[in-house]
Amino acid sequence: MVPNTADYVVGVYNPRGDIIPIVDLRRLLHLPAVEQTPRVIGNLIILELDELTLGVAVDRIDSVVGVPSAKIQSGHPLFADINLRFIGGVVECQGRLYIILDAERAFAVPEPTPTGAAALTVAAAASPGSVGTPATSPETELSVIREGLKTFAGFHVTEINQEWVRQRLPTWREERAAVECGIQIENGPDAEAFLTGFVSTNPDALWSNERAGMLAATLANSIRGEGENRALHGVNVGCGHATKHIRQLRRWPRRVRGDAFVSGRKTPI
Amino acid sequence: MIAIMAAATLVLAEPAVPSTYRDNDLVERGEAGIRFVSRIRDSVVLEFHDIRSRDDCPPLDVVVVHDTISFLAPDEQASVLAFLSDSVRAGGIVVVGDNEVLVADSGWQSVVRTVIWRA
Repeated sequence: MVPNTADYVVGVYNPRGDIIPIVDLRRLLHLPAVEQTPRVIGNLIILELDELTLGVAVDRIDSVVGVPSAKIQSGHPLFADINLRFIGGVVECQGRLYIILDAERAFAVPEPTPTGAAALTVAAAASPGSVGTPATSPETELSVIREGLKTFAGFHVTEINQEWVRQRLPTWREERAAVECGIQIENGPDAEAFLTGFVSTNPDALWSNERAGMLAATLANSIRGEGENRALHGVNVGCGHATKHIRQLRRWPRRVRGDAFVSGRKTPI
Repeated sequence: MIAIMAAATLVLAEPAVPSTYRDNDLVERGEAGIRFVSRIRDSVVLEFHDIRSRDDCPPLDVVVVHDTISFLAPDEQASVLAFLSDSVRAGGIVVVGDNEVLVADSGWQSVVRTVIWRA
């Protein structure tokens, strides 16, 4: 316990040199307490609410999901056992029902900043916590970003692109801090801003000299020694309807096939 | 779809055409702008297929799939990668986005930076 504080303040934490209070949600929401001897603070979610930063002790971080604000419905009297005034709404996502805690109201921060998505999602998890990782660990940040990109851009972070996403995180963190926002992706413009720099150069234009040269040289090397006029088969995989466009380049003259696409560099590959 | 079908007859403004296309006589100046020369236009045949149907297609020499896989759901990504593995002939190449990579241990070999991969 921390002297002269509310009973739900169960300790302090020092994440980056700033001492912040740790709040026990069970006590705040009048939920049954879990006996722990000695008291161990388990997983923490760090909340930044205007000028107030605090840690929220949670049983476990079940998952991180992003939800459009339009899908959030108001709280229902059935949730009366969980002090309704702290409930920002409920939302169904991926087949599960989530109760959204209104963090600004729960922690009495004046003039809450409107956000497009939930400030905090409480998953229906109830196992006792163990010493864990604060919510701002790189993996948790990546999880937050992953959900935001999926929800607001249809962009799925997998092995195909996760290295770029990881490298983008530090600059994204700086960009968001400059406008006093968290790293959460809360809407389409946020997602678009995060993905700045991801899309290939000039995707809607003819390939540049360099790129066309690379492809031609690689292709020429790939088919060297084969028939003079073999048709080349290519596919351009489209997005959205996932169509493919087969391009059969028939009677392809040797000169064109071997050299014409090659720029002056003819870089060995 | 119509735009794709008409790609071979595309007409472009001169600043949009990199020099390599002119230097190698791949384009010519028409009344409306720059277009591909007739031997290119006549050599290209475009067909449409649903990649999900996995219909028969000849062994592929080139697949361009840049900035596309990342916007597919993980199961669809797996489906496209399986399609590439099945359909690209040995030595064939795949062009992915500037910031995408194919997993090296899945049988693909990076050829040029991480953009062009060889089966």
